[in-house]
This record gives sequence, C-alpha cells and structure tokens, in this order.
Amino acid sequence: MYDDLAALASTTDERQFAERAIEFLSRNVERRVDQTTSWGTGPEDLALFHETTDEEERADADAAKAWQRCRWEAGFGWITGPPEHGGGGMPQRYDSLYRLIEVAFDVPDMSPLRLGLGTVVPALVTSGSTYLLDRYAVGIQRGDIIGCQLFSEPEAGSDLAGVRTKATRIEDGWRITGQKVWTSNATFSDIGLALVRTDLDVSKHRGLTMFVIPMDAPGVEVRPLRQMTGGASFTEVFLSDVQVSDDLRVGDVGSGWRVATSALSKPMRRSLTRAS
Amino acid sequence: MTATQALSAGGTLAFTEEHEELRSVVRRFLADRSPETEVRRLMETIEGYDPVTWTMMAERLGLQGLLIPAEYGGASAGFVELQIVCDEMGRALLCAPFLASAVLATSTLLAFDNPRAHETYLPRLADGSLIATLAMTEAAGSWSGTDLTTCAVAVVDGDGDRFELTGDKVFVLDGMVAQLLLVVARTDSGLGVFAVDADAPGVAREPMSTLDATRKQARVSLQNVPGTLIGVDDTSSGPLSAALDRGAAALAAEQAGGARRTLEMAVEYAKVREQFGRPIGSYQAIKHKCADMLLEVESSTSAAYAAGWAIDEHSSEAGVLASLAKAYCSEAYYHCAAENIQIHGGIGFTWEYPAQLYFKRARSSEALLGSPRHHRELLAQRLGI
Amino acid sequence: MTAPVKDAGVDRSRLSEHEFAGELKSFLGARHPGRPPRGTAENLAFLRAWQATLADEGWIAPAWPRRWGGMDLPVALQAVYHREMTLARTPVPPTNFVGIVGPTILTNGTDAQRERYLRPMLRADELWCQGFSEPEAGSDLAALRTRAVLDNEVYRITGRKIWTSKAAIADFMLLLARTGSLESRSRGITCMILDMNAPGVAVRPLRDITGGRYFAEVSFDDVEVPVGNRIGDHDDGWRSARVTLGHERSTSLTAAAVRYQRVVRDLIELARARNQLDDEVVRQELARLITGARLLELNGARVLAQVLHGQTPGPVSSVSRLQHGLFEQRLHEVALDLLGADAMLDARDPRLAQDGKWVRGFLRTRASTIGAGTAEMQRNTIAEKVLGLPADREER
Repeated sequence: MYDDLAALASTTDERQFAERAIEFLSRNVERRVDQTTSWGTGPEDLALFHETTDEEERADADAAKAWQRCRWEAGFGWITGPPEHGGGGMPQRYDSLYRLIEVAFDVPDMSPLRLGLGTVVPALVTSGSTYLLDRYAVGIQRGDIIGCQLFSEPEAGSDLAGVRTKATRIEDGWRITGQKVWTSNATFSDIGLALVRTDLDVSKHRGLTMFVIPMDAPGVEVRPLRQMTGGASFTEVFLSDVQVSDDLRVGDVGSGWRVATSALSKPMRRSLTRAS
Repeated sequence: MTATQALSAGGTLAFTEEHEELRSVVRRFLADRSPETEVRRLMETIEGYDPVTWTMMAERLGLQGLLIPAEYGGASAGFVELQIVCDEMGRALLCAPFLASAVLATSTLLAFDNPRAHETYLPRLADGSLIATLAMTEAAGSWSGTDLTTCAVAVVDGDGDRFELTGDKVFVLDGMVAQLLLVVARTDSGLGVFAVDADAPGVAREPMSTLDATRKQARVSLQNVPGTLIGVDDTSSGPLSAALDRGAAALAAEQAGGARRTLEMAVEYAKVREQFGRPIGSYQAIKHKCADMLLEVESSTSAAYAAGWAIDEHSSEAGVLASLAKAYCSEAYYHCAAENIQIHGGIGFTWEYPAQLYFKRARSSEALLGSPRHHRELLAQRLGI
Repeated sequence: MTAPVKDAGVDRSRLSEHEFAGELKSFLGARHPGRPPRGTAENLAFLRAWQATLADEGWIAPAWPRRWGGMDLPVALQAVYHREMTLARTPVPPTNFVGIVGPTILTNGTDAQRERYLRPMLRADELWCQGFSEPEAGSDLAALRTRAVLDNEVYRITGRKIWTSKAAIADFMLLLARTGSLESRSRGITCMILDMNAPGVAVRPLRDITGGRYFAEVSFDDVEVPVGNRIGDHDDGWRSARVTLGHERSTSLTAAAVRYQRVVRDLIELARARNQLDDEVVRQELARLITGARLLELNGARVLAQVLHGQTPGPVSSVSRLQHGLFEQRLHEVALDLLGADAMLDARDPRLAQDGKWVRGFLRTRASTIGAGTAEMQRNTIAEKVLGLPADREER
C-alpha cells in the first residue's frame, strides 16, 4: 500500500529511513484520500492567505503543535538538526524525503509553524548562541512554542534594510521601541525574530541586529490588520520599551542584515520541496 | 457631420466656465457630505444612502432634476452637465441611488411618450421625494432584453394599461429603497415597461450581497403584482435601448471620474513614499505605470463626454459612442484602480485604505449594464459590421 | 533655379470654416495630382511637383507666416486644412519641413537665412534632412559627439549621424554638433545648416527591417560650414532646434487619426474577405481598434477644442504621440492575425496581392515606439512633466 512512497528513496539508507517514516505515519494518521491526480478535481481554495476566526486560528495552532510534538517524539521533528540539541544530524535530503512521504498523509495543516520552522530556527542555527538553540530552536522543533517574523515596517517594505525599530543598550540588556507590520501568526506566537536598528551612525545595512523577543513581554502589543478581502491574516506589532536581555541577541551586534538574508533564503528551498 | 468633425470645428468638447463652475460646486458639496468616513458608514447599511444628503442634492443643487424638463420641475440640462455630476460622484464614491433613479429610471420614463406617466412621476423624481429604479435583468444576468421571462398579463376590465406582473429580477440598483420600480416584462405584443409600486402586495425584495458595497443591488420578485404600462418597446433600438445608452454614458463618466481619482492617489503616494532613500515615483517602473494610467484617464474622459455630447446633439452616433465609452471606460477604470493598489504596495491591500474601494467599484461597474465584451459587440453591430 | 513663388496673395485666414473648406475642396478638385507612381525617381519627381504646386498656389504650410510662404491660418482652419487634405488622400511631401527644420529656421534664423532657404524648402526645390541622432546619442541626445571646431569664419565638422531620413536625396541638413566639452552636454551644442554636397560628406544608406533604405548614416570628414550658416548662437543650439510651430503637431496628429479610421475600415474589409467577420474574437479585436482610432481622434479634438477656447491644452495633449505609436503597432498586429498563414509571407509574394501593405506596415511600425522618442522616454516625460513625478536622471 505504501510501495509508491518507499520508492521515493534512492539509497538503501534512505530506504530504511523511508520505511521507518511510513511505519510512523501510517500508525498515527490516515493516508490522504483527497490526493488528486486528475485535472478538474481537488481543493478549490487557491487563497494565498488563509482567513480564519480567532478560535479556529488557535485550534489550528494547537493541532499543528501537537503533530510537531508527535514527529519529535518519533525522531522526525528535527531531522537535520544538531544531535547535541536533539536533532537527527542527517543531510537535507532526508528531510526532503520525509516531507515527500508525509504529504501523502492526512496530517494537520502545519502553516502555523511555517515561519518558526522555516525562518526562526535557521536563523538561530546559523547565528544563535547555544542558549538560544536550546531554549528556542529546540522548543520550536519540539512543538512547544511558535515563532513569528518581525521584519517589515510601515517605512520598510521593499527596502527592508530601512527598518527603524530601535534597540538601545541598557544595563541588563536592550530596550526596544518600534513598529512591525504584515506579521503573520503574531496573535498565537510565543516569540518573534526581530530585525532592529542598533547603530544610527553607520550605513543602514551595517547598523542592524537580530533579536528574539518573547511575545508576552511587557510592551508588546499585537493588533490585527484588516485587509481588502475583509479578513485579517496579518497583524501590526507595536513594541514600546520592550526590555530583552542580551542573551536574546542573535549573532553579533551589527550582523542583523546577514542573519536576515540567510534566514529568508531558507524557506524558498523548503516550499520548493513541498511543491514537487 | 460626425461628432468629432463638429467637435473640432465647434469646440464643444472644451468645458466651458459654466461646466467648471458646476463641477466645482458639486465637488465641494460631495467633499462635505460624502467624505470617506461617510462612504464607509453607508457601505454597512442596507439603504446605502443618506436621506439628508439626498434631499440636499435635490433642493440645493437640483441634481435629481437635471435630465427632467423644466415643466416638470427639472433643470432641462444637457447630458454633458449630468455627466459632470456623475464624474464627480464617481470620484467621491458617493453612496446614493443617483444612477438608478436620476439617470436610468428617469431616462426610461423620458424615453416613452407618455404624458400621464411624466406628470405622475417626473416632478417627484426631480424634487427627490421619489426614488425609482429600472428592474430589467433576470437570471441570465444581461441587459440585452432578449432572454426575459417576467410576464405582464393585461387586467381584463382595465383601461388597457393595467397589468399583472409575475417574475424575478436581479441586480436591481437600489432596489431596497426605491419606491417606484420600472419593470421590463414580456407581453403578448413584445416587451413593455411597467410602473410598479415597490410596496405593493406580491413584491418581495431582498438585498444582494455585492462586491462593491457602495452600490446597493437587490433581488425583486413579483407575484401577480399590479403594474401600469408606461410604454411598449418593440424594436431593439427603441426607447429602452436609448435609456440604457444614457445609463451607459453616465456610468462611463462616473468611471472616468473614479479612474482620474485613482491616478491622483497613485501619483501623490509615489511622490511621498520613499524606499531605498528616494521617492518610489522616481523609479521608471512606477513612472511608466502612471504615464499609462494618464493615457487611459484622458481617453476615458474624451470617450465619455463625446458620448454625452452626441446624446445632447441627437446625433446618429450616440449609440455607437455610448457603447464605445462604456467598454473603454470600464476597462480603463479597472486597470487604473488595480495599478493604484499596486503602486501603494502593502498598504493598498488593506481594508482601511481607500484604494480597495475604488477597485471594487471599478470591477463592479465593469459588469453593470453590460460587460465590455457585450458593448464592443454592440459597437460592431451598430457600425454595421 | 528656384522659380519665384507666386506672392501668396490670397489671405484665407479670415474665412469661415465652411468657406475655407469649400475653397480647398475646389482647389483639390481641380488640381489633385492623383496617386503617386511607384518607381523611386518618378515618385520623387511627382511629389516635388505637387509640393511646388501647393507652394505656388498658396496652399502650403498652414501655420507659417505668409511673408515666408505660409498661410498664417488660425488653429481652427489649420485643423480643417489637415482634415481635408487627409480625406482627399493628397500625397505627403517628400521631406518633412513641418516638423523641426522649417520652424527652427523660421523662429531662430536670421532674415538672410529665411530669405535664402524657406521658399525653396516649401517648393521642394531643395530637400532637407535632420542630423540629430548618433550611434552614441539616441534617447540621450545631449550626449552627441559630432564635433564642430570654429576656425576663423568656418566650422569644421567631424563625426557621424545616424537614422537620418532621406539623407540620400537631401540638399541640406539641419545639424546639431558639439562645440563645447562632452561634460557640458546640452549647453555645448550648436545648430547649423550643412550643405550635403560639401566635400567630406558621405552618405551610406541604412537598410532596415522592411528591406528599405529610408534612413542613412552620414559621416563628416572635416566638412566646412560657414559661420553664416549657424542658427542661433554658438553653444545655444539645443534651445534653437527644439521648436515646433504653434499647434502644428496637434492639428496634424488629429488628421492622422482620421487616416487611421480609414485604415481600420480597410482592415474590416480584410476580415470580410477572409471570412472572419463572424468570428467573435475577431469582432472584439476590430471593435477595440475602432475604439482606438476614435480615441485618437477624440483626444485630438479635445485638445483642439481647448485651444479654440483659449485654454492651455491640458494633459490630454501629452499622450497623443505615445498613443499613436502603440495604436499603429496593434493595428498591424491584428492585420497579421487576420492573414493567418499568409503572415509567413513577404510583401512581394503574389499570394498576398495588395494585402502586402499590412506586412510592410507591420514591419515598419516596429519603429513607431522607437523613433522621435521611444515609448519609454515618452512615458518618462509624461510622468515627469505632466504628473510631476521626480526625475531619476541628470536634467537635460
């Protein structure tokens, strides 16, 4: 019944991995029946952004987290992650293989976790401290927490390097003030990966630093953005003197642009895999 | 002499000082009575208009009476004057039954030689106390009149003009607030237009949920409803067709006004919004979009008012130009409204920013009174192709 | 040599439009030369003779002062003139004196220059070309490099011009050459009249996409131009040469729009001949073209109406050239669609017969969005000058 899925593997090792994945998946979920191979059938919702009520949103987020936990416990939660942090330490192709197999099963909609897994974790892996990796990357991969992306601002759309949210050094860490816009999932996120300005005296790309901001910190306010369809898939996030400790800094001071660009290039690869 | 020979020889298509005065009076009035907050408020209502504003339009400015002869309390104004008013209303996205009542219904009544109907209805249309609307379109969603099934049966002991109507109409503009319905129905001898009291027993009305909440539309179903015959339309180029042409020409002017406003919005934003250290309007991609929009806005204006001028001059070209204008202005307005959103980037996609209101008005107006495709085919037929 | 021009005795500028049209129609009724012959030499002689007739009879250059051979007509009558000449399908003059050359000399030349050059230009006794574009200076004309070095009373010209229409038959060129540094751009350019028969001038025809040789490259090897041939001041050529007369452009463009409507009717006949007139898609395309041609006319009429009412023409006057270019291209694209497989043929194939004109036009109109200002440059100008959007390049 799953020979077609097992056949996606190219090597013996991959084959074994695929069989383990199939065994895990078939034990926990049904095979997707609405998988379509004929023209004219299939889901009709072509919307780029999904619009749901708050309750639906929270329920979707919880379901996604639960499934992510399930994956983690079976060893499929962080296939490429560093073993010392609970990951599988395997090459990217195993991750791609798992996803190709999982697509055939009726798992919950994982889009509430998309930004956390696709942008926040890669940023922490390339630039974050061990502390950040353990506390947040693992948390996201394990399905405990959800992350969002705090990049765009009203004055920084196409020109992302023009961000103005300011982080000022204080005794115990940093104080952050500013406004982010077009943030997906902020209403149910636990942390946000924030691109902020730490130095006004250098060229705009060099004065940026990346931080992890806990979304429940005092001073963080999330407001839904209503769009022309009538729905609200995005939010504005206002940061008013939000205090974060220095260990929430991701990478060196002034390295924010590099962290952002490498983080943003990752989701592309992942979504290409899914599409195929 | 073709319309344009006269245009270039007589200069009628330059707006006179009186035209400019009318335009500026209407613009000021609408800025006061129909700012965006008011538009958004009325969008959420079923009535879709403000009765106080409506009364002021009639009493202070005589707008509802523009097309109505002076002997019935109107202004006997030209169609170009009416278009200037529609142009400004399109620019302000005024929520009011003006197109329905003052243009389409009024033009329909005037198209038939029926003094009794004129005496009965025109004065009250002119003073704004009566709101009327044309109920024509049915399930097929067209304005061609060939696929109508609503029927009108003569009342046996009536004086020849009393009927009973049964059928279902859709896309009735401002159908919920109209007191007079001008219903197009099939009789034994062809299509007729009937005056129906919207509150008569047997009339059931229901709002339609529209893409463009600034223009209300309704479903109206009729079950043996009494109606008085206004007139019979026995040819495809008869009175009803002339009324629809007027509606199309007025709508074209409204579309031209909306398109011009979206161009203004786009240019204003492009001058002010900075990214990468300079206004986005300094990038050629944005400049070229705006230039293309200007070409469409100016062409829309020329097309719409040429149709209006032809109507005023009773030119044989009036129908040709009305169809030409409706098709062109529809696509031009849509394109400009879409580009306006594009030039605004993310903010253009939000509910709160006005760009989306124009976009929805544009797309909806494109379909109203017949699609561009329909009107281009009409244009070809009218030219004998 | 030059026949004396009959003194343009009749002042028609005060006639009513109806009377003027009547007089022009009766002149054309009597003197219309018919269709031009095909062969190159015969064609040119025919067109020159017709132009001489117009000049001698006082029916040429409606916007020019009568002193210099024109008709000095008010705008309304200029419009009638162009419309009637178009409707009567009169031949087009062999060289463009309306565009820039004549008005430049008229407006910025000395009396001696006007005396010497204008009437022979109007009679087509002397033919003209325009030396502006260069290989390195197309859209960015201010970057032109053809050098003019002042040496006593003579400018010595070295350099190259390209895309010069009709250079092979021209007697004179209106030349823009660099007298200042390259950095000085438009402030270091001088305008002058160059004798195409002077030693050092070489004309090499450019073969274009149509196969024809309408354009040429002109090279100058130390060509002498007397200082007396300079138009305007030294280094002031940029300003001197950017002259168009009054509303010549808008009146003649409106006439072009009338011509398009005839072309669209020809296209409808093509569709009919090919049994495609019942095809819904074809009908839609034709309706779009009918609309496009009418819009050109209506926009032109609106400009004219503004002028006649003493108003400064608004933004509608800035879109016409762009709109014309785009329309011409679309028109021919639709024509080739209608030709179906015949679109694979060259105009000379007998299968096409007179439909070959569509193929020729199709190729020719690739230049409609390039010549005399590319569509992109036109959009830049509209955006910056009309809409006030900020410039992104060095000011010209």
